[in-house]
Formats: sequence, structure tokens, C-alpha cells
Amino acid sequence: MPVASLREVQKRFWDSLAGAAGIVAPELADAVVSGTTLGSRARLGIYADAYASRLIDVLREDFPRVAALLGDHRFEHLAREYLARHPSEHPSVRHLGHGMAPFLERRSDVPRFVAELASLEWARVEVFDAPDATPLAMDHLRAIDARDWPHLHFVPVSALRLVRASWPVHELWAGADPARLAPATTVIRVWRDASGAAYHAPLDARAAEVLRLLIAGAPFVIACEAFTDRTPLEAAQAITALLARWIEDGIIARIG
Amino acid sequence: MSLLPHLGHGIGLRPPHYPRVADGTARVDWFEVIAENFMIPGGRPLRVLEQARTLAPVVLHGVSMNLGGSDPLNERHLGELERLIGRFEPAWVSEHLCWGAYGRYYAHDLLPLPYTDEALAHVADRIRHVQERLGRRILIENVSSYLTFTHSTMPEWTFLAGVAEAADCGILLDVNNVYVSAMNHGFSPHAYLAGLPPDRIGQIHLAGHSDAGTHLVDTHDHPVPSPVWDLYADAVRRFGPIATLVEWDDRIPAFEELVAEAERARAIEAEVLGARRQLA
Ligand SMILES: [Fe+2]
Repeated sequence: MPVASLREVQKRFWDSLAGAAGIVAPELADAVVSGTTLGSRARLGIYADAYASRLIDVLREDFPRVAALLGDHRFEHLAREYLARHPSEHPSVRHLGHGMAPFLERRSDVPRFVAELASLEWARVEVFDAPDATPLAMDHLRAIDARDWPHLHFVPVSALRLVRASWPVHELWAGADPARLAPATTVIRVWRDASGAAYHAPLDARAAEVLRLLIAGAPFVIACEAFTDRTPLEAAQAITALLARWIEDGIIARIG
Repeated sequence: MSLLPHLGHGIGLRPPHYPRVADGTARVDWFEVIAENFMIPGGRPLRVLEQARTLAPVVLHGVSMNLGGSDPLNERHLGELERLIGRFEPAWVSEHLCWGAYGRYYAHDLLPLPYTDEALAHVADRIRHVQERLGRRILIENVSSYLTFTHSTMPEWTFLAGVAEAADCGILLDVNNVYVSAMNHGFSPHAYLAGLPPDRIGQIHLAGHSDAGTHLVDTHDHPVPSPVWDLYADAVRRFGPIATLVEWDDRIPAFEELVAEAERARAIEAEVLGARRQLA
């Protein structure tokens, strides 16, 4: 057999890891030493098994509630299919699960709430290491002159995501039995607190709209439009209460 | 390698022990961290690493540089490593003598190379490029392996020594990996150590492995077993006092248990060096 180049060996080795399960090119098997206890294919199999089990473990750690809901066997099966379509593109394994929720959503054999639960879990992964920001203190809010309010921008921190779902997936996350849940339009805010831990909480429709507008860069007066059915004073009071809550949670970075 | 200070006997810092760093009770000679775990925009891990370096020297240990790979080096990744170095000022930086990516996809594993002149020249070139880009000499680590190639033309230790000479880099000698590979491929771990250039060994790794029956697996989920301690003693005998680090990555024990392993390394080093002085 002619001696294969480094590139050729690595191509075949890679295919044996990430390609169709258990398929080893004969040239690759010939290029690997068979020992007394293990043949060349068994030795390559050690790497192929380690590749799958390591990456499935990473996905299980990032999507613990999805894994629990689907059960080990089903989760592993889906994770293998996911890996076949989305091999890791980053030196850091942190990004491995970025396409998991859309992947599950495209599958007709996976309930929609499972894909939406995956979105929630991935948002939790994302806020964990999103850029740092010093959150705004409550004193700042009190010091604002009433005349300035309309034009102020309350800029949220980067470690904040809004997850939209057609099921109350925060209840699934907390362990609810999906058989006892009904679909319901749901928006969940996901954020990181000062200690670095990820949190999430559902928002009612108005609060979700206000937060969406703030994230989009709208000034206070535009955010108030979520409450057009109320008097301007009522709207301002309602939003001030929301802001106070969010500032307490550390998700407002600054006033611009 | 005389260029590197003997930092003492440290531990690999992993998330279960972040609280001990945060509250300042993580007392140990030095820390090693996985560089890729800190290539993130923000959050708690970066804050913990800032705190860690106020407690003890920190070393960055990379796992995804793909030094032995045949894809072009990932310059963006090198840029991120450069930024980490600038921010955290590690005592030094290390990587693995292996490959781990193909066609821009990452296996997140330490895959074995054939020990050929082609691979030797290729890896040495890439290490030289990395060292130029980072403006510093790096250490390369031998990995555990479960297979070898029929077209290899030299033993692993000759390959490792050859790469280190050709690239003018240091060696991070993982004593557990030497032992695991020696058992898996049937060579003498002592012959391995005897084949290395003493003046290039900058750091030693210690770890535990598990026995899969047909082969040993580099699992880092056990205490350092006695044959690995014996091999460590042999390394100290041959290479003298070298900065040593205990790795533990799975089923991670209490901080004190980990530090006890580092202390055992210190005691073995003292014993071997004491005996060597008496002989001299
Ligand atoms: Fe190691």
C-alpha cells in the first residue's frame, strides 16, 4: 500500500468519526496497527464512540430538560442526527448546540413544545457568557427629572434574551407534565444575574412588548405605546413599575 | 526547560471549584485552565479567572489549536488566544501534539498523528508560526492514544523530541499519557522518558485513567494511580524539579482532595531529589 499523505489519513479518520456510523475505509483500517487485544477497526471504533458520546454529553448538559422530556434513548438518537448535520464549527465546544432548537423544530416527529423548550434552554446557555455590563442602580431612576422621561432610552444588558413560544415552556422547564398543558402564546425573558447564574421568567403580553421595544432601542415614549388603551399617566406608572422590577433584576444596563 | 520557573505543584481549575476561587480559599501553588473555556464575551468564568490570578500564577492550556491538522491554522482562534494572553498574562501557554479538526469541523478530541518525517516537519512549522504570532515559546503535550499508524517511521518519543527541537518549543510531559499509551501499544514508558531532551521539559501533567479491559482510557476521573506515581518519580529523577500539575476532569472531587494529590507530587519530588543529592 502506498503511504498516504497526512491530509488523506485525516480525511478518512474524520469520516470514520463523523460520517455514517461504523464505516471505516479499508485504506484507513490498513493504515492502523492491529494489536493482540484490539484490531485496527476496534481501535478506530474507540475514537468514533468517544466522539459521539463526548458531543452527546455536551448537548445533554446544554439541554437537560429536553433530554429528560424525550428520555435518554430518544434524545441520544436525535442528538446523533443533529451532529451528523451540524458538526462542531468552533474551537470551543460551547457553540455546539446553537442549531438544536431549529433542528428540532423542523422535525415532524418531535412535538413543537420540545423545540420551544430547547430554545429556552439555549437562551440560558447564551446569557451565561454574554458580554458583561454594570447594571443600572435604582437611585438612577429616582434621580430622573420628570420632563426627561419621554426621550430616555433604557438600554437592556446583553445578557438578556426573549424567547417566544406557542406553549408555556417555562412550566415544562419546571417539570410540568406536557399532557396537562395546553398551548398558550408565551414570551419568556432569560437573563443573567449579578452572581452569573441564568434565570428566566414569563412576561405578560404588554411587558413583553415593552421589553422588545427597549431591546430594539426605542425611547421611553415609544415603549409607552404598549399601553395606548390607558391614560398617559397610567401607562407611565405601569412602565415605571416594570422598569423598577427589571432594574432590580439587573437587566437594564444604562440610560441613554 | 530552564527558561520556565518551577511554579510548584498545582491543579487544573474546573467549574466545580470556581466558588473556592471566588471566596479566596483556593490555596494552591498554581492553576492551569483550559484556554477555550474562557474564549467567551463575558460572564462568571472570566471573573473567576481574574480572581484566580490574584491567588496564584495561571497557565493557559489549549485543546483546539489543531497543531497536527492539515487544515490551515485557525487565525481567528489564535487571535482569541492572543487576547486571553494579553488580559490574563499566563506564566506560559501549552497545546497538544495532535490534531482535532478536519474541513473546518472540530472533533473536540486529541487525535493521534502518524510519526513520520512529513508530520514532524508539518507540525514543527505550525508551532513556529504560532510562536511567532504569540511572541512566545509554547509547550506541546504528548497525548494518550488508542491506535498507531502502520506508516509511522519512528517511536512517539523520537517524534515528540524531534518536533520540539525543530520548532524550538518546550514539552509538557504528561506522565499519565505516557503510561496509558505505553500500555496500549506495548512500549516501555521508561524508554519514552529516556528518549526526551531534558532541557526542553517545562511542565509535567499527572492524572488518573481507567481500565477498559482491552485498553486503558485517559479519563481524568480517578486519583493518580501508583504506576503513574512511579513514572513521575522516574521523570523527576531524570529531569529534576519541574512545575507539576494534577488534572481531574470528570467526577471531580473536593478541592482538598485535589490539592492532596498535588501535595503528594511535592512529597515524591522532594524524596527523589533528596535521594539524588545523597547519592551525589
Ligand atoms: Fe494532560
